[in-house]
Amino acid sequence: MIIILYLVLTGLAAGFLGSIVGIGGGIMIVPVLSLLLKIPIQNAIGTSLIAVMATSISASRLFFKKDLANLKIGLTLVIFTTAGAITGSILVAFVRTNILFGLFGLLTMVSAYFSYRKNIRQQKDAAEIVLKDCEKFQTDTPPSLNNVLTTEEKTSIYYDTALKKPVSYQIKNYPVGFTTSFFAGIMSGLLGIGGGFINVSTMNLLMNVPLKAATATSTFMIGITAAASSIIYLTKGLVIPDITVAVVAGVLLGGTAGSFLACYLKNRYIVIILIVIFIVFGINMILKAFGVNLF
Amino acid sequence: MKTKKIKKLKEKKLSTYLSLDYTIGLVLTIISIIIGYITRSDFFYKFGIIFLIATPVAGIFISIIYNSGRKNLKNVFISIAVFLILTTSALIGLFGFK
Repeated sequence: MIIILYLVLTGLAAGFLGSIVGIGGGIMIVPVLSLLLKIPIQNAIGTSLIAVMATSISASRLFFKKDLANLKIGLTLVIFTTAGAITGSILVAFVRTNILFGLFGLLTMVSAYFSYRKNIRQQKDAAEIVLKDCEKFQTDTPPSLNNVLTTEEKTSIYYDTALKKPVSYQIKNYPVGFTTSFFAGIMSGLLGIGGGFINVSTMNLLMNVPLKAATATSTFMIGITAAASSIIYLTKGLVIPDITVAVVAGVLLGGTAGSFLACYLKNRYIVIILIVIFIVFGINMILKAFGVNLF
Repeated sequence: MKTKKIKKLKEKKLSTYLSLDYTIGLVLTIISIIIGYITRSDFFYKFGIIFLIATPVAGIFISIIYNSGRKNLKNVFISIAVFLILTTSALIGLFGFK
């Protein structure tokens, strides 16, 4: 009974956090199952994949309703990430992964810095510039960055519940985004890491997708990519129904609550959570490069 | 009134249909898990897991049908490409790459 409670709580935490920042939650589920509960790693990965899909389904439902997820960019990126992952899984026999772990760890830390710069520092600067302009022209109406954009530039739009106004954005750097996604997919296939945080970084940092839309789109994407891998684990009998269902039950609750909160949460808080995850993940990868396994 | 309704239906976005798909998938999964818990049967647990896997796959099909209906060929090709690459990925995983 206590084990079931552990499983449900693990799922709850993974679903909650995963749906807020657009990651699957495998980073939390696999270590808990394999290290704490001594479940064989293959079964833990199988359970984690099903849990990732549960996170995606429970959270995406609300993100679709609120028009947060950008379906077109999500589906297009899935093609490149999966193609990269297939290439990576083929290359795995020829590449020494230790150096890659180190490089990828460093890259994760750099992503954390740029996420901070783009989403917190630049927004502060932009707000200050707009305020200064306002004072200069002595306008009484509050400034809105949306008015600066022309109609042609407003390619995608969603309503931000936290800001209580619609946010429009134009997706940029398609070729760069696709190429990065492909290489990120290769890394994912080589190192066996989840694609969630790669998707968020690519969309937010390179393609100009606002963080909230990027996390929602990533949540949708991870469900699709996990579906393909889950079929393999299920048919090979590596998914233990009792354990998986307990984790999924927690994930469904956590994912629904997390997605609800994500709609009302300000970008600043999502960035802070994301940066903390990036740093922990980055340190773990760098340590792995030196043969130290934290989780 | 009727034309208004038809117009409203036509205006429905892909995200509305996907939201419906994901809601149905979620409800069916929860029902299967509850029945499985009551009957203590692995069969219903497995059924719940299958519903989880089927939901995003159904979403891709919905995307293909929706975009075909709107004659948006570019998006139809994107959806088909997603489906094909996922099938390839699953097949490579199942049978290995030798």
